[in-house]
Amino acid sequence: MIQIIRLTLVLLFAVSVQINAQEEGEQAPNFEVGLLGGETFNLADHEGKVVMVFFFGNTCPSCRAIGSTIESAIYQEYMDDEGNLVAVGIDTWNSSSNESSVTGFKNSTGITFPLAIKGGDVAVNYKTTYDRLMVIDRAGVLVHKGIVAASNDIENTIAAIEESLIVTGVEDLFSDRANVYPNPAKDVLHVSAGADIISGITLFDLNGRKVMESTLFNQRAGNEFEVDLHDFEPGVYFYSLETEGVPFTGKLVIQK
Amino acid sequence: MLRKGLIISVIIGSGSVVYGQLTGNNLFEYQLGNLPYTDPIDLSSHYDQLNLGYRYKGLKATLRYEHFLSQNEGSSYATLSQFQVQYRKEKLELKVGNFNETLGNGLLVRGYEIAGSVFEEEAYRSRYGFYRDMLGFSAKYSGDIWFFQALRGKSLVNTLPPTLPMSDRRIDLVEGMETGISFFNQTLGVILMRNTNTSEKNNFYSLLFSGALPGNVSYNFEFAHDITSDLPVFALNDQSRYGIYGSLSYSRGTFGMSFEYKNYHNLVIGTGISDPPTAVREHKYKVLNRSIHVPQLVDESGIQLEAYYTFRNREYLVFNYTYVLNEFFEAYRFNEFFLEYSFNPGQKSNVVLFADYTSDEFKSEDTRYAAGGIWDYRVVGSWSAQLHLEYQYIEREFTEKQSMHNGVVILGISKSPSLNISLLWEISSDPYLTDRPDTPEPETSVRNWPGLEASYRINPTNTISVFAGNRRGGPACTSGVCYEVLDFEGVEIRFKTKF
Repeated sequence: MIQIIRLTLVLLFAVSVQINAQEEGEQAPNFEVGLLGGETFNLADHEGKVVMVFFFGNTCPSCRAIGSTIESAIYQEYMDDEGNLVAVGIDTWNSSSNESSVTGFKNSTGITFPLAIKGGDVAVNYKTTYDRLMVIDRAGVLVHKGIVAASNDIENTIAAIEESLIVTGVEDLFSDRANVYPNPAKDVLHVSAGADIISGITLFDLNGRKVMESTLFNQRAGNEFEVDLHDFEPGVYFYSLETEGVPFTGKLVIQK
Repeated sequence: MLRKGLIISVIIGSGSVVYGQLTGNNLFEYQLGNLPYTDPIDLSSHYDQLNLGYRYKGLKATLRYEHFLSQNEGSSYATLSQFQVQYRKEKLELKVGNFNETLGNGLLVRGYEIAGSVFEEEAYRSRYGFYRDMLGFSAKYSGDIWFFQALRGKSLVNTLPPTLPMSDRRIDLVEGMETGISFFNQTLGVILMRNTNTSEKNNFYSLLFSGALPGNVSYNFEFAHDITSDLPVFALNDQSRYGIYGSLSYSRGTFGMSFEYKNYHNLVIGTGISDPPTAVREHKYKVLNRSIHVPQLVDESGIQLEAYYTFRNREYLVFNYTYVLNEFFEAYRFNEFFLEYSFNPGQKSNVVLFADYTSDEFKSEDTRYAAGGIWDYRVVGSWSAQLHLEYQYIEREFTEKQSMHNGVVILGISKSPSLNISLLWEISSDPYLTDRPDTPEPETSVRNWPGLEASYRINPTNTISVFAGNRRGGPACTSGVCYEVLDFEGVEIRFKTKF
């Protein structure tokens, strides 16, 4: 009798079994997957980078069809020498996921970023499925979790990558390197360099469009300069300071 | 709230009505076995689907209860997965709850259910009924010259299992209407549809023409287009989203032929709520169905031509040609020639032979040959024996050319209509399948799938079936719906009952 009651309770409450529900804005849980070729990919190793994840099935036709677009329109477009964008494809079709089938997927799509074998557990942990895209920002926050087919999600993914590449959310990490003030700003923005040499500043609007680029000639540590904001409409912008090291980026609010 | 209210209404209603009719059916499935090379192993699970219906005059209420119990943590669930209250009177039909409805030819939205099929999403290891319904309401009026349909509902993402919250499984809100008029055997129709989710909102329209022409010719044409963007509503360019489907068929006596044209571009809607007609032939032969070209709604155009001739004694000859072009970053062409001949060599035998040649650039399989047949021999009385043979040769080339073979042998006996017993053996040298993921080096030897399948109809309402052995998976298409069947090794018992 107790067994029956237990079974009934299991059935009744089975729907609520814990799944690590990951939603946008939450910290992305770490995962490690084995890659084609034998290496491993560990999300934690890419802290400070923007990570794009493509969940696919090794012979999933729609995944194959969109794979080349993900490679060319996203990865080739946004990767850079500093490796600010990291991409990984994860095969969720575990039972048929092997070196041969994932190599076939790689060859048919032309994807050059790493592909992982037997990664279904990662999809389960992120409560998603194959043919989906996901973006994790530099701070390890899940900023985009595709809910529609990847072919319908390219623009949203690009927008999330662009925003993540600009907005690092790591101003504290660089506070000894540069200071941008006041923020919100009105007519003038002051930029003072710390340990880094700052050679330029670029402003982007919310859509990632470049709205100003300025080259600075007073290139020395500790320099300070002003940016004229008179011609800017009020709103939210993003700035990127060119330095010798990792770009110093952040959000800027302009008020009038 | 709506759902609870309706369920209570159904229960109360069913208690107070005396002369209604209660019907139902149940599918129970037990599995003990493995997805090959996948943990956990030796998994014991059972799935049950109970459908209850109650009809009183024009009113019908249905419920579906599904549960899956597995040793695998996180895969089990129990849920009232569907309910519906339907009212039908003369030309009017109203449905509230879960429904499978399609607008037009399914270019924009299609609901379906593959009856008796149990789907498993392999990452979640959860099994559930295979359908893509909508939760909402629909209304339909079918007059003599005028028809109208309206629907509003949230479409199911059936690649996510019932272990996830409904908010994750029902993302697309579909609102649509279809109306049309019929005159002189011609029908003109129009569809307006909106699809909304948190990621996008899209509006579409569709124009439909169908009917019969003089000379035993019938036609069916649909043009669907996005009206969300600023693009012209008939624009056929890279940015626009559209679908064109047309079919023309002719039959005279024992001869018939059909021609189909399709052109789909950027037609993946939301989570994938549409399923336009496939241009390729759906084969009953295993090696061909597994190699089928799955429609790519990002970009696909093509034609299909089929001709058949029926001889005396129901012998027939079928020829089919399919051409498909997919243009993603590169152009991929698919060509298939198929021939099937059925004849009766003697009074007790029926033989069906087929031959197929395909070139499939999307899969980098430039050459695929296949041939085989089914021999059915009536032994005595209602006893008969079947021999089913299929062979396929594939050349695949990415960086280097690979050649591979697939084979199917089925030997069966049956006593109509109650008993079927079959021995199955499938074999493949496809590296995608022979390579073991648990070893570092790719294996190139063949892989075998031996199995035994039996079904017995105990009486007109109860049927039991058993499978034991290894079952080969792969892509499959049924009634225009394409999906992935998983490999299985172990024992599966199914019990179907209806009342």
